[in-house]
Amino acid sequence: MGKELLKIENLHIRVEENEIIQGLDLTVREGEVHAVMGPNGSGKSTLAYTLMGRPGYEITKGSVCFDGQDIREMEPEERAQAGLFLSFQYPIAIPGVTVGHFLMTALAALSEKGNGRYKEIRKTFRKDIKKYMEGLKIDPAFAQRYLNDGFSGGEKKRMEILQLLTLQPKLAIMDETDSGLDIDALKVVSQGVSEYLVQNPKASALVITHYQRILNHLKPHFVHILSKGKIISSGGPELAIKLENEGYRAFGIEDREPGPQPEGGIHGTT
Amino acid sequence: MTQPWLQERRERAARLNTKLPVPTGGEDWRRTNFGRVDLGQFEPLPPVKNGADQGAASRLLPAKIVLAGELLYGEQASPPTLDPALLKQGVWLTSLTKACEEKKELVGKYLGRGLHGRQEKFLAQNEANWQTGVFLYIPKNTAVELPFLLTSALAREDSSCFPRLLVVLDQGAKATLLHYSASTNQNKNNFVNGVYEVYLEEGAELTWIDLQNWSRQTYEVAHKRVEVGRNARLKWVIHCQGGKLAKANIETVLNGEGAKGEVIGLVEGKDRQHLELCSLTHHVAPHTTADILIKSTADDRAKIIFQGMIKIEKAAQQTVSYMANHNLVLNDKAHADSIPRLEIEADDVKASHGATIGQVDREQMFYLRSKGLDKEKAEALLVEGFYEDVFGRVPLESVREWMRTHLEHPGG
Ligand SMILES: Nc1ncnc2c1ncn2[C@@H]1O[C@H](COP(=O)(O)OP(=O)(O)O)[C@@H](O)[C@H]1O
Ligand SMILES: [Mg+2]
Repeated sequence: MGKELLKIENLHIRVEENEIIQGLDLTVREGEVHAVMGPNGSGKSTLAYTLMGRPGYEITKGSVCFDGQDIREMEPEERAQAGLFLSFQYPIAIPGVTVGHFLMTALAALSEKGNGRYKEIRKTFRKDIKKYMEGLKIDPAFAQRYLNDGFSGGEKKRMEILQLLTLQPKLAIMDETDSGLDIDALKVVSQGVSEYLVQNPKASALVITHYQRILNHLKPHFVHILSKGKIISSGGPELAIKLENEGYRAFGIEDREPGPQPEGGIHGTT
Repeated sequence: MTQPWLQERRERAARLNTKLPVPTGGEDWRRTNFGRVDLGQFEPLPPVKNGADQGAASRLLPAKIVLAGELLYGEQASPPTLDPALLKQGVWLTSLTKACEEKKELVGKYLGRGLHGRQEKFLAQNEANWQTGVFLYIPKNTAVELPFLLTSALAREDSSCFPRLLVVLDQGAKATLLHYSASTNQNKNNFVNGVYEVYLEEGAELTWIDLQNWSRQTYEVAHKRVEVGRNARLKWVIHCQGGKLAKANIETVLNGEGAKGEVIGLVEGKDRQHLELCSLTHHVAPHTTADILIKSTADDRAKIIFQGMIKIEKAAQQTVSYMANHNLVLNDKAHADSIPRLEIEADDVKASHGATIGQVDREQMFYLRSKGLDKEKAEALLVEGFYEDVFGRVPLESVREWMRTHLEHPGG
């Protein structure tokens, strides 16, 4: 068994006076892929944002350790420097800042903190980025476009994966990376995540999703079902299969959305 | 030695200067108050030293550029450097004092032409006190590819300085002018009152890159006026970052049919700087167009003010005029104000203005920080992004790069 990378114990999170996460435990070891599945509003993004240190997301109880450090008081950039990465459910546009310039600035910021790995990454940065973009089927012209500015939903998701591949974190938190993607885009994006995992055998992923379909590509070792801020069930990949076949109702959860999403997707855009 | 016509004008101006009080009220002056500054503490600069050598102007410029000619003026003056071929074609680049003697007709025709009759304290003060000044003249149908550089540098402390610039592009002439004002030490305490006049005759085209980098202890009043003649083109890039209390009045006067003016400005306020930019777009003739874009950031305890006026005379039918002013406030203690105004007498025109004042977007901040950029770097990147459309319109690559890197490493 690998080393414990992320250890969450009895976590409670408050956002604007509401306790959204109410006693959550989760342990992710090196090299593991975990899926956290839950209906809309169950607290998936809240968990992701809190792990990344978003202002306004307050930990009222419990502990969060990442790579041996208590990260509760750390700034978002310190967490990124420690090796955490969040692929945003809704990536933010930064007008006037090109994708290329942003990636270079982020790499420079990460390597400044003395992590020797980033010196290596920077050496082959240009060549690698080209290769990653090709793999993600991103037009090379995008390097000169302003980050996420006017990008379609699918383009934004690929951009997050491009960052993941470039920045090579230890733990990738993927918040609904699959939502809004059609079959082909989903495949491309999943391949990107797999490539990152293959390149970094000790790296782990926390795949947050509403639907099961991305898990066909990114085989999780563990699946957790989140409902109303608590993990109500944990197990192996079979949990995701059960969810697909029987829906959230099988777990006693009211889901406002229609049952399992048909392959192909109802939100199909790229 | 001074020409009698000039002597008389300057004496008249001196009398007016004594008579007029420092303006402190009215829409024009109430936001930037020089009434509270003890102007008596500043010694007028002593007679100009001609000590500077050729090339002194470009050595002070923080960017490397191949030039058609250059001149240092102000406290010290350098002999002009001018491409001999241009000299032969009739291009003039000299001190204004010399031009007053040797190009009497031409200088007499233009100097002060657009400012006559104005009862303004600071105009009169400059007229009475300017020292060497600069004169640049491009004759008819002469296109100069490389830029001219004029540097006005101030090294002394507790001085008052009165730069004066006269630029004339005759019919069909084309040129690029780089004007750089700088203190050679960031802590100098000075007062600068400059008057800058530009005349573009029919079909002339000027790109004016106007970089202001006075120390943050400098008090400045500036009047900058460009008269754009028939079918003439102006592209004016303004970068304003120096000064403790500074007010620049810029006027784009579209004087001939088909005249076009484009003004792109960037005002950066830091520390306790108080910087005001007052822009007048004056459409006098029909079929004229103007496009003004001014962007500012206010950091620390800085205060930035933009007053923008589009004035369209009755005769200026079928005129198109845009003005935009966007401000980013980077600190709770910093301020930005934007006061756009329209005064339109003609009925068949298109005129619009837009102004925004905003703060750094929290979502963008968190997004960038989550990817590893600390607060300062994230903010710097957002500021860079904010200014990018202005940079994108700066014609000289090396100047553009200098403006960009200056933002990344302020104070450099
Ligand atoms: N910034 C916020 N302010 C107030 N309530 C919030 C905020 N963010 C999320 N919530 C609430 O927290 C709950 C969980 O939301 P979220 O974590 O986004 O769920 P999910 O990602 O699983 O759809 C919801 O009830 C939502 O309304
Ligand atoms: Mg969510």
